[in-house]
Amino acid sequence: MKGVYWAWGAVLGDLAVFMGPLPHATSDAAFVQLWLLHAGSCAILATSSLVLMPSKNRATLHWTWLLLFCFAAIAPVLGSLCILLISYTTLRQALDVHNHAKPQTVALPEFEARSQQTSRAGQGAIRSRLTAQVPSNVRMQSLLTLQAVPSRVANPILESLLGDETDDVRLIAFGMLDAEEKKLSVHIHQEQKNLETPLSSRARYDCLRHLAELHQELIYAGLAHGGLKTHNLNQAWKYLDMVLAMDEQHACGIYFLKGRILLAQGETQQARDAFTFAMQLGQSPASVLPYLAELAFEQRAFATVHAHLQNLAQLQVASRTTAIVDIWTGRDSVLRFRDRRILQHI
Amino acid sequence: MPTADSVDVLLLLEGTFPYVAGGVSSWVNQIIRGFPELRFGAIFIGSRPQDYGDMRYALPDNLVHLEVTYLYDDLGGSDIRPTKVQADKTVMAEVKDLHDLLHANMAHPDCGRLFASLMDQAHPCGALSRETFLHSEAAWKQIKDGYRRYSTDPSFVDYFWTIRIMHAPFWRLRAVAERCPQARIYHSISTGYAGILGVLLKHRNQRPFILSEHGIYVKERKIDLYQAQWIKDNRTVFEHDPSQVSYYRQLWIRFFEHLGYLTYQASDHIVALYEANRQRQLIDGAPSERTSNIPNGVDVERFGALRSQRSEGVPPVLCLIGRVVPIKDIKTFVRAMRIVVDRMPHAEAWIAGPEDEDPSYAAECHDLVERLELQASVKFLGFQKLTDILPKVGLVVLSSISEALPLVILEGYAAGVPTVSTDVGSCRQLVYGLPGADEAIGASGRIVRIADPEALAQASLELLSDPVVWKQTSDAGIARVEKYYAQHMLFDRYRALYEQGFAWQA
Repeated sequence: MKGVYWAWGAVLGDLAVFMGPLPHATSDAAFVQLWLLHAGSCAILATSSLVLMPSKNRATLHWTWLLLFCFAAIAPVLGSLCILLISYTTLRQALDVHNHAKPQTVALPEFEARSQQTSRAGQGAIRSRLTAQVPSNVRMQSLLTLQAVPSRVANPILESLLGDETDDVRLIAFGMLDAEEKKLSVHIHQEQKNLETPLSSRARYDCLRHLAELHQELIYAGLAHGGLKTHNLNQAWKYLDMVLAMDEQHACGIYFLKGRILLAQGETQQARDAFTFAMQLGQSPASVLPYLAELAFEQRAFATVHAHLQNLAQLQVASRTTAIVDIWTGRDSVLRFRDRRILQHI
Repeated sequence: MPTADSVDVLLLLEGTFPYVAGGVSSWVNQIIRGFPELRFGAIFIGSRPQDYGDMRYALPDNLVHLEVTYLYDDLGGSDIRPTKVQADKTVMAEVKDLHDLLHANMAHPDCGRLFASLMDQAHPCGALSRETFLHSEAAWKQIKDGYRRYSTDPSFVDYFWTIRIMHAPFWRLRAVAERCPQARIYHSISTGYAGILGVLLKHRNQRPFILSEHGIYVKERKIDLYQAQWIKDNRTVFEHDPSQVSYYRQLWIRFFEHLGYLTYQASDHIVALYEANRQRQLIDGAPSERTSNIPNGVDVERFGALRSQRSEGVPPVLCLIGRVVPIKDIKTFVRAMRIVVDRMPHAEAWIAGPEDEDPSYAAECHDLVERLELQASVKFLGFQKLTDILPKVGLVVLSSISEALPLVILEGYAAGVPTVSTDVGSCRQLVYGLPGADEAIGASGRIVRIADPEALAQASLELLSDPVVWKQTSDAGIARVEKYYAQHMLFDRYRALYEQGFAWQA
């Protein structure tokens, strides 16, 4: 806003010139001096007023300046005051417009915390868009979409693409799987290095527990099969045994992990015992009940499945699990199977 | 370093011989030594000096000229304050036309000619000097216009620097073209920057230009770029669509596709190692009538002599011959060894190849060996002479995720060693043969899916534990390499190509 001070300065200067002795002098020199000082004031005023103009009036810069200069020159002091008055008015209007354009507070859109969208791109949909008959650009897009899909779901699909006939698809699938495996391997390597250093009892406990979890995660994410799966399970057991030997307070999480490792090994009875014990120790039923239901389902004990899911229905669970709970407990609003557009858990 | 004013064949080599060991480099070495009557020259194009060590090959006597150039060395510029440069309006209009053609109609007949003629003006006194690109108002305006027209990424800063770094090598290549010795034939071993140098040299000197591709350069760059972590994606969380490749990734992919297309269009002969690669070249823009297949070949007599050095029985040694780099997927081999050793405790894995190309990957492999408790069974031997190790191994194993026509399989065959390989490149054809008489020879090993340690281990155990099957595959390998992949066949085909080129010259 320094332009305003210059403009007011020019008006005051012009006023001083015409209130002073020069208008009363009769010499040619005084006349020239008067008009030079007046012209200078007008030029300063025109230039500084130009800065105050809204941008749309500054398009024809030279003509606008000339107009302002002439206006100020023809009517000394009064013309200048009029220019400033007009500038102020237009400036204020522009500012008002600006104020109105300020972003208004709007209500936040409603997001469901347990978004349904993530599961819409189900395995079946993605798999169908990755078959060899699909155009290569669509396949590539679908493949890249897997980056946003949980690894437990994405990895088996990526694994099936390792034998694809198209080099690009095969190699990108490999790259994505390799990156997943590398993430876990880096953590395992770090924890193993930590284990070699002197650690407090608590830190050693955490380190061993992480190692057991990471080896189990390799299996859960579908990154180890056959002999390697056995090796990783053995490693997980090795670390878990060491944790259990240190675990005097019987942390529920350790028994929950034990249940998951046993489940991966196919030891269903022992897995159920471990899960039940973990729940007794305080493990959240929302995390244990789906496993117990799964074990009961594998043994075809459907009444038990129903009972577990009935208990689960009282709890806050992920949308994917909710769909299963809804079907088993009759909470599902879709009456006929053919009306069901998607099965979210598939 | 040898220098000469003129050569018969000038080889254009990007990231291979003589500074990088590997299949392509061995092939280059083989070709130079296979034509002692010809005077060869070579231009090595690398990224930065620190990315390469010493020469990995002794230079053949008939390599009379070698020049080394680095595309991304010393890009920092000088301390001299740059001054504004006035660009030639006609040339800048041509640059704009070229980019429009590359975007909309790459197949236009003017596209290649325009590119080569503009490249030719990219010298210090030319109308398209480096200074014009860096310090002219017209170049700045063209970058701004490009950003506004095409970029879907919000960051102009990233766009500006991507365009600058993308174009930087052209001035280096133009300078190399100026210094090159006279040649009767230009022969590039890849598209990419080496291919573009070939395009320029052909345009300037009107000599035949041969392109021999082992892998498909554009495909390999694409796969690298899809997974590259250094490429930025500045889309906000609301703009981000995981199924859409980020703009700069697309830009780099298109850049290499354009280089590949322009190289194919300028080449007089385009050679692939096998049919699937030739088909891929056609998809990428190679004119069908200029393409052909010439498979690799090995010195059967030299490697055949090793058979007499073999001891009785099948040595329980699985040998992976190759650099310790991600593309060889050494980790899958190590994982497979966990399964092999569980069932055949005395089995050993040898990894014979240099580890200095990607030290972090080599470290990962060593860590994996430790994690899988295989220190006693897996040995990293470093670079080895094949004639020393092949008589002692039972299987040549290849766990690569990408290959073309691997020489090590053929060398193993000649030495009587069957192979277990992943199903990449032409490996299936090398193991089971092409339909017809080749297939009738029988399997000379086993083929498994990539990244499948279980399958790799099973196939290896099957061959190692059954001497009869092993002998059958070994005999089939010897018969196959002698009949279809002998070195003299390779030389005969290239001799015909070179003679055609020389005759054109006359």
